[in-house]
Amino acid sequence: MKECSRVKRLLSRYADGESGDAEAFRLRRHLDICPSCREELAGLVKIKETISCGEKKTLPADYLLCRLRDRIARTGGRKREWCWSGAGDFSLRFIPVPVTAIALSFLLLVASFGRSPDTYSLEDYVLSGSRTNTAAVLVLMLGQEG
Amino acid sequence: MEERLEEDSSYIIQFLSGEEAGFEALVRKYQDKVLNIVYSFIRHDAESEDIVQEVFLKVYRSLESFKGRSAFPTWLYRITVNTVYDFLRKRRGFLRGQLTEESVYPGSGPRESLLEKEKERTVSRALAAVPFKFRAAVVLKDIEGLSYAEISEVLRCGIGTVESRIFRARQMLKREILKISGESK
Ligand SMILES: [Zn+2]
Repeated sequence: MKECSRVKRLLSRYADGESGDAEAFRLRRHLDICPSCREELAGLVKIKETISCGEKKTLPADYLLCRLRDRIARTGGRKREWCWSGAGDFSLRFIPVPVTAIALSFLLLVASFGRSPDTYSLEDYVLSGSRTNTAAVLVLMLGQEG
Repeated sequence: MEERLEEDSSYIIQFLSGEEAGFEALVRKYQDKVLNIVYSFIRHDAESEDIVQEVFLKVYRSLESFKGRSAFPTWLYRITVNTVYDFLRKRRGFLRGQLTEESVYPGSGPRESLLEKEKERTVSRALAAVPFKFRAAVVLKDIEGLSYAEISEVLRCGIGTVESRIFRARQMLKREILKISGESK
């Protein structure tokens, strides 16, 4: 049933309590009359419970702190460290945005030497469909002024 | 929640003004939460403890640059997920290796039932089969109980992405659990 496949797609967030009131109401109404979707929901809840009810680990009091104090003392106190890990999503950390932007600006500056600035207007650049990032636009604007 | 965050801010201010006690309070408050997130990826006690130590060392060294744009736990969990990711990237095959060793499931005590051990083993194997980005979302939801909005901040992606990652992770988990229980019959 088409309705069932739509409902099944929404059950995961329903099980997480993330559906809005109206959606939750519609889902409950469907669940009341549909054993297949009820079974699907029961399966999801079971998986949630299996994951969340696993053994909870605890560290002995101050065990970690002792290790940390020792490590900090050995590695020189509060020296600052560039921490990629705090800086962004793990899946994006290989694209250091500022570095790329600086490199791109530099390349565009180099490329702009030797080209007569008035042969290529800002409008041409935008209309050409090339990527208009701030650096490129700035180079073109500065070029035009000169 | 609000109170909890105010408490964190006071610890951070204390640390930034030179008192180590502020940092120590943060460690005591969050060490088990971080440990459980790490353990759900690593499933190995000693390695998990080392990673937790690494996480708090990063916190210690970068707390000065914490701008408070997100709540402290969000920032902390982001460091946690990224540190685990780096560990698994460097040690490809680590998890598969662990899962073949009987000894890595010591449980909480000698009386732990066989059934519990078996369940733990199934969860470990099933989770190991789920790719990292999907696993991260479902772990933050089901182990740490974060909301989709909080997870989206930790993983720096949209709420819709969080939802679909959790949805897909659960489908993969279901498939894996069925497969494992089929094997053991
Ligand atoms: Zn249905």
